[in-house]
Amino acid sequence: MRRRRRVLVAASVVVCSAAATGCSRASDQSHDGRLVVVDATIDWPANPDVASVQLTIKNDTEFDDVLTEVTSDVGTASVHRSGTDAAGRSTMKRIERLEVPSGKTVEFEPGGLHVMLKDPPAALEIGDKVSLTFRFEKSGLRTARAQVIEPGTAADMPSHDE
Amino acid sequence: MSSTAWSRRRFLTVAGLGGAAAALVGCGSGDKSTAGSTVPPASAWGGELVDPGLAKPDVTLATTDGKPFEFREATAGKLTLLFFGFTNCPDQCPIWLNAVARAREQIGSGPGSDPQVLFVGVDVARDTPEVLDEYLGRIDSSFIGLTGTEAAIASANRQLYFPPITIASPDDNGDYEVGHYGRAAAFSPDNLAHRLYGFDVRPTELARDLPLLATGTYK
Repeated sequence: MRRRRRVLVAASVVVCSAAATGCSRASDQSHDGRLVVVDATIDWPANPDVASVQLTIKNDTEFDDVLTEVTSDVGTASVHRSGTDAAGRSTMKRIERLEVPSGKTVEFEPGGLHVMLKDPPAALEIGDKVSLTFRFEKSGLRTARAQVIEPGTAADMPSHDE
Repeated sequence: MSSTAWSRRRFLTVAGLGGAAAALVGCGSGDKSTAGSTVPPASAWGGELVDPGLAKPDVTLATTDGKPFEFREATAGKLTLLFFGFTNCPDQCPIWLNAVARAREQIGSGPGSDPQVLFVGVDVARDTPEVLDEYLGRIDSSFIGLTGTEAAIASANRQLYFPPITIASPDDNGDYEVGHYGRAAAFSPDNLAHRLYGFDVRPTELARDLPLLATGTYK
């Protein structure tokens, strides 16, 4: 049975087109020249076997970097990008190497980039936290903890660093 | 974004522009007032106008308890939202379904509060009746899962002029890509779909539109 908060959230879905601006949840503070993964959340999944992780990667280093792998202590993780093809079909492609340019912020958000988490050994529930490890070519490993939240409420979560 | 009404001839061109912009901006053919209701300006509609409206597919699908679902008969005269998707979709499908569920909560009662929401599982190998039931039940138990033969599902999709469903070959891990139209058809009580709603429609937009659609207003 779904543990559903009966609180209606006005801005419940982050709506961004690929070209849209102003959709970042990332804080603007300096990260002292570091590359960080922040604001990781998981919408409570409709299918217990597959979940979508949203997050922000902020590269404040002086070099371009590439995300090459994501692993999790809960199931298998991989990076995918949802989109729309020329015919209007919803599509989802696996991304083996994700470029994170110097000075840029890359958003994983609904309808776009996401980490797909498959086959967690136990059903995820709202409030659970999942550990994720990100391997970057130059920056090495970064970790983040993603909290399972009510679907569509990521924009209401406080921005934070791990 | 053009404010020109959507037409079948332009379908593939418009569809190729992607649903996000349409849902963000909205499309319509003009502002009109209807006695007894407040009609939002064209730019405020959450869904894209279809003009002329799309007829319902003449097809028989199946409910998750194995009963035939004769589409036109089962939906006659009802506000009906029809979405083709798949249950291994972690992103756009649940986003759309959750948006509808939230809109229903916001509407509460009255016209538009109880649309017939139909989710057709296009990935028939994995979208079994049991999986469909669990998937939809975790979002809104009123939502109806539909299945059927691949031919029947493809026919329903084709009759709506939606781009063909694609099922790719499995990779080394057994995973495969599924392509399906990214918008839902909203059939009004006149049995025509006058609006299409992308996965990124806001619940507040649906909460405003559904009562209007339920009472016969669509532009």
